[in-house]
Amino acid sequence: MKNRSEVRLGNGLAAIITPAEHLHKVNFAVGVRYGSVYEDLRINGSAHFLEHVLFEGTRKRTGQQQEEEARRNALERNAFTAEEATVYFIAGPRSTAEKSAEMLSDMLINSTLEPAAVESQRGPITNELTMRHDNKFVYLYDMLKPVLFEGQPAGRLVAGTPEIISRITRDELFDIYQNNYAPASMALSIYGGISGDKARAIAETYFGGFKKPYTKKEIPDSEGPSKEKEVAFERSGIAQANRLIAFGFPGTRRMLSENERDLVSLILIDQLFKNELEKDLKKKEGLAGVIKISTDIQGTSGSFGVGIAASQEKMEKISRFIYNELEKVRCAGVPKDAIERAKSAYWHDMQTDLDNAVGMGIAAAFDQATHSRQLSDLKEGVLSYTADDIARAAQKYLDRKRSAALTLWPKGGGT
Amino acid sequence: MKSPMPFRLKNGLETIVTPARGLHSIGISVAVKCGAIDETRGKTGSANLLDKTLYKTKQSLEERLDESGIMWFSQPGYAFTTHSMRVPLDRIGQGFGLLAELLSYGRLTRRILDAERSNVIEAIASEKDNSDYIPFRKVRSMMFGGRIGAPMYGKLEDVEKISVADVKHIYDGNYGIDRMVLSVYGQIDADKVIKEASGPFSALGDSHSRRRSLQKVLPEKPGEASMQMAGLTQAKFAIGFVTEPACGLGDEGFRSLSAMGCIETLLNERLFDEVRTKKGLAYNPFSQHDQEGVFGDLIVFVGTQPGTLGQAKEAAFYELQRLSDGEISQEDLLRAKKRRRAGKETELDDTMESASTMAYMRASLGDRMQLPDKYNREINLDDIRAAAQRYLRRDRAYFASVEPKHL
Repeated sequence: MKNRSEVRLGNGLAAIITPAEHLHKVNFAVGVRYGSVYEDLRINGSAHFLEHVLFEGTRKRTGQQQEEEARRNALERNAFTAEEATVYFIAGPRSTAEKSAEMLSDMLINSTLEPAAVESQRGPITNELTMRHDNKFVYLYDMLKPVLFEGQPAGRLVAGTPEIISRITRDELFDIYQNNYAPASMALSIYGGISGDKARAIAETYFGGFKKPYTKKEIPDSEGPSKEKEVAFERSGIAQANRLIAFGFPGTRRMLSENERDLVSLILIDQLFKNELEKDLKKKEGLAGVIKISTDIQGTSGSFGVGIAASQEKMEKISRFIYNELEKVRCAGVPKDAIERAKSAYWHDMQTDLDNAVGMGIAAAFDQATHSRQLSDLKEGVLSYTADDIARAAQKYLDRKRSAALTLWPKGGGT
Repeated sequence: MKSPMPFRLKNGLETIVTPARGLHSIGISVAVKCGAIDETRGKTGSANLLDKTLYKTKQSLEERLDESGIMWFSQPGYAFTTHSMRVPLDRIGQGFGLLAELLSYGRLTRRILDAERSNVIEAIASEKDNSDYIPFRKVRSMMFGGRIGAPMYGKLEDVEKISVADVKHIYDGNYGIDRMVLSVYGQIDADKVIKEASGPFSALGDSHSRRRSLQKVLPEKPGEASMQMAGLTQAKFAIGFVTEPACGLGDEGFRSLSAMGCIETLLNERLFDEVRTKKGLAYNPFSQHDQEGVFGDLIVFVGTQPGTLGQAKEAAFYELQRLSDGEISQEDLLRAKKRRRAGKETELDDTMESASTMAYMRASLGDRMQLPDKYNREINLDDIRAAAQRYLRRDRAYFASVEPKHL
């Protein structure tokens, strides 16, 4: 990206600065290299728990004061936890850039993790977990990695279980905070309506001064299943069946060392399926279903999934169609015009997405924290990809013999 | 919101353009005065099916949109449907051409209709399985009954029977330039819009419209409903209050409507602070104020543990009571106004969203489209307190809950 610069702050923290001065919004995001793959299994869900608690008070402000100050300044604050990183962001109008940076650095550097703050989050997290359980697609996606990467780091639940959450202690969270929220494990991204010079000055002022030791932890790559897996769940109260057909593979670390083009090829397959699959299913098979395509590639693991919600009697036929379509991709049998459409749609989407300060800022922080590499650079070459590139990546990573099908069936035949 | 410039294309199509510099795309959107309220009895869902089939009746329209890198999105509603696109700067002419083509009728066959009907039926089934929607939908049906009380995509028994003629009927009655507003947002001016859009849109004619001015839907009596559903782990509830639609409002009505926007912001803050943070009863309690042309409502939604349903319900009502008792400070008001203004300002980075919002507002409010923004600046504490007292009284609440059913 031509206007992006990467700088090291005085304390070694990596900052990715992307001025886009025509935008009304400016986003500050920090990716922290700590997620569920780094957890002690006994406290699985602690990275996500910590993410909640960091909004609950610092040496300078109570949680309530943080919240009130954000509201007074019309700032949008949020965070998410993934397998390999936790990302925090604060976005607001251009005039509030300095306030956003100061508040974000305060919560990342000065949080106190008061016992009362820790206790206050057990209820909301338990409610979050049960809410996710009740949404059938979300439930299947939450179960996806534990099935694909069973027994491996990427196979843990990202947010744990209510039972584990009830017994994680404040001291355990504090240890994680002390040992993992350090300049060497963080990446700052500033994106949007701010000049490069101002962004660099703000970055140094609010993020460049703190020091903390950090010992990097190496996580082994997670591999997809060694043979095709089928896992069935049942639930009362639903009428439709839901299935997730998914493939698991090692992430960007291996792809970047073996063949970088595989990564963008997988993204193109995702786009190809988004463009064509539901349409072709109707046109060629006269079948209907709600289809969701998702690809998630992190440093040590990746997954590609096709979700289906449909009546029970259609499910097998739709699944066969999807496997056939994947086989066509593996055999370079996809019509050229469909590939060209996917390339064009993805490329143009990337261009127009340059105006999305929050999305682009978060992606930059996440990429830097997990890969130390901005994947958007690779994606810029998308127009040069061919059917052979796509077929090669599919052969390598989308092998049915290493896939899993997770199905949520209506209990007792539906309601 | 920036002031859009209104004019008409040569064929009479009402158009507004809002120039904005530097963005990487332009947003184009057409709001059509057509929605669920235009459906005839027993044909609920025909407006939604029309929207779905519009994409399918033109030779490879979706493929050409993909090739051009144009993102598209249609939003069928109760009184209006918006068709919007995000167009790369080097494809502006194509964008107008494809949007105009989308809005033309094409040749709808039984086969195309059946394929889209199947998809809608699966989508209805999928939504019925989603327990979060159940109290929300129930409370709205308790408030308004009739067409507004039924889902926008229609009742299943109607959707199964809709014919090609039914879809054509709703198209002919509503999809004409006399019932459309074209909105353009981004790095473009009126001259360029006239140059690029006049040709493609010249093929569209007038509708055979029979709709008169929008009429406010009268609410049903308040009440409570509790349901059980197998397979749930959470209990969920919705509390609804009837507010005002924009149709037929005078200045005082607009003041009141803008006040409700601020109340929504304040209520969300209090639900977050009290129900989530202090009491730990929910993950994401929220309220949503909808103003949909012919009806307006504010609905609070809370998901909690089955054993804390009563506690969460009282906690939510307590916050509503504080608002309706006038416990709102000047600082609260200024903060809510500032947050709403900042939200609108930063939304301007999204060209498709901005074009769509402006098309909708122009179609529903005409020359008065700036009024909500004007009143958001002007309203005072008395307005907020009056609106809260008027709309959020507990004796005017509609309540619906769903709890786990143990088999």
